[in-house]
Amino acid sequence: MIEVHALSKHFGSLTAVDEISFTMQPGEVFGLLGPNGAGKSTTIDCISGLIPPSSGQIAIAGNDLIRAPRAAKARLGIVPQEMAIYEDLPVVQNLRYWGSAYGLRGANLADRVADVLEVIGLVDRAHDKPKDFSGGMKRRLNFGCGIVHEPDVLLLDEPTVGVDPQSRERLFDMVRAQIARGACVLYTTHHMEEAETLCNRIAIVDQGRKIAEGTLAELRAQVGERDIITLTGAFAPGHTLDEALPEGVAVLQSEDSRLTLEAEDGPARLATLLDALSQTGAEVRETIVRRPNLESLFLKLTGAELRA
Amino acid sequence: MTFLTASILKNLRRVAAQPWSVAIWIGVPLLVGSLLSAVMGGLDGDTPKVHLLISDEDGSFLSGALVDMLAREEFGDLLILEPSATNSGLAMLDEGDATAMLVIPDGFQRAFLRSEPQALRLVVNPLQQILPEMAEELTRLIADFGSYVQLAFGPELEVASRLATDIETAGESGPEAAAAVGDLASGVATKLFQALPHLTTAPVEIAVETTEGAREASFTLLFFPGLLMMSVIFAAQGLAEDLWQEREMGTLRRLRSTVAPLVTFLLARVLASALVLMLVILPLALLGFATLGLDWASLPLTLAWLVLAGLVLAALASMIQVLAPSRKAGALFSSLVFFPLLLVGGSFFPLESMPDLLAAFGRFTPNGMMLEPLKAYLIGTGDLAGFGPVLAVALAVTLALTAATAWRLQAGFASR
Repeated sequence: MIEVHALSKHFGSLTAVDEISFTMQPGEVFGLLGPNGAGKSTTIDCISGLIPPSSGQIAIAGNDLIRAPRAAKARLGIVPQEMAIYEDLPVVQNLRYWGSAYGLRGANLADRVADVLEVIGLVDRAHDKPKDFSGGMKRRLNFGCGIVHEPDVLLLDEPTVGVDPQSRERLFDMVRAQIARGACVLYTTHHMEEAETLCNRIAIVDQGRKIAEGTLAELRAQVGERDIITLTGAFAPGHTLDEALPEGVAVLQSEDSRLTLEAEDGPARLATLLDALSQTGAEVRETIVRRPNLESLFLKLTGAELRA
Repeated sequence: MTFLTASILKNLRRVAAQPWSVAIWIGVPLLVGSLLSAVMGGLDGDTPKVHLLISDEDGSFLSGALVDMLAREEFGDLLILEPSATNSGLAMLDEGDATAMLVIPDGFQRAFLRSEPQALRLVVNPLQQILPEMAEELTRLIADFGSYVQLAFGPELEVASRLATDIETAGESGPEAAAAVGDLASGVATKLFQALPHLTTAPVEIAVETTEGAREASFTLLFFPGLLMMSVIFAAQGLAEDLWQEREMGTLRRLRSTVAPLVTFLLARVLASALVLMLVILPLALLGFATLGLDWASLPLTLAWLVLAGLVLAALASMIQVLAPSRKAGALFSSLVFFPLLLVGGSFFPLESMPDLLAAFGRFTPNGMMLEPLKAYLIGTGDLAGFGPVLAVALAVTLALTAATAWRLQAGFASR
């Protein structure tokens, strides 16, 4: 449905996207997971035709975006990170406008607008202006404007920024509805939980590069069954720690006041670990043990927190 | 509903959602026009008059004759005469209650009759600009007239002066005086008879004419097209600023990811702008036509021309907006361009009331260029042919500016 091959985007000397490739199939949610500034939005901008890629190919439903942009864009729907609606126009007029921008007209447009109003749950507010809506309702309309033409490929760029948990769940339901009708969704986020909840396959990006890709199970396997132990306090230098740590525990990241370790069966080894650290003169004030997840994979791959 | 239709409707609805903007586009020119028109003489075209104080310190027959001459009916349209003592007249001028004071000094008659240099003193109000100049011209006219009289009747004036002195000193008139008066009358009559054929068949005639069909152009009539243009300029600026609002709302960016061409988006803006401009101009035009008694048959062309002018100016304003690095800068650049255009392009003051150099410059501004043929058409000094060259330029400029705006939208303004 969508093929991205060796996509790169340079802004002067800055490489925002560096040789990223992936494919998506109908009925699939593909997650682009990475911290802010990782190149997710630039990737989306290239795929949506907003900025030309420096190199690489993008094909949407078999149509090359550079050579046949109109045919490619006709199959594409976008829900931008920032709101992109007319707040001074009623909901129904927003949907009609964006539907007509994708070439819908007449009864087809009217039917689609009616369907989308149902999907986004704004039937009873169809003739109200969004300027009076809550953030969640505006987000739903923003989503609706992106699906009014029933796109085969839907790009969602961090759609839950500033959204309350209830609205987020509703948004997830709307995404699942698109999947159910056969669309594929490219979903960018820096929330590991969202990617785990929604995505069939995930690519982890950092500094413009794809550093891992796979299903959730495949990615978890890369971390292994090793827990992540994060300690806060005052610690001895790294080389001293390495010698003091018990068997099966390894340092992932070491800072002056923060130590991140990976360990098999972390809770069972915690007492031994703390005892060993105290013998190096360390003072531990806080201890967090986490089960293996995407965040721990990101931490393992990059040495940095995903939310940084 | 095609995207073009949807886009036009979207633009119109968004303008309708801001009724105060539209009210300002109509209201400000109406207010400015009403105030300026009231200050400059109103609808009837009354010419402002010179309020001239006369201080007759001589109190002679000749000074009285001079005052009588100024009081003639012919000067009634120009002058309001008021006798005054010199000191109180100066006080009135200081208060700004008069335009000027003509002081006829003591000894004026005696000096005149002896063909001696004599001076009329004119004190003008420094706070007024045009009217004191009129008073100066009038006084210079009187002085010239006196000089011609002295040249033509020099010997007779000398006799008259001597005669007057004799009468004053002798206290009575004798046979010599009677003979002198007879000679004087004879000399004057001879000269008048010689001059009469030339006086009655003056070689130069001055006739004040206006072009056939032309109306008497009051200040309000001269200002009326400029007033409409002011409204057009405000509307054009406001409509162009919407490009930044579209960008900040993210809708331009979203549009770029759809299949809708930017050209269609811009065409819809032009068509919607034309409708908005028409709605903004219409009430002012109707009011003006009714108040000034203009020919209603001129209304459709007036509206169409002003809409075209609005599109030219909106295209210019749009290009300024898309070239600006921020919305604030866009508003600033737009003001820097359009405020001077308002001032010198005949929209705040008629070009006819400006200094020649400034008026000449104003006629080459976009609004001034569009204004001139319309004004001539409404006053009756121009015809349809006068619109032709400007129409061609206006269409070419609008097309070029819109193409430049489209390029800028494509080049990045719409993608951010």
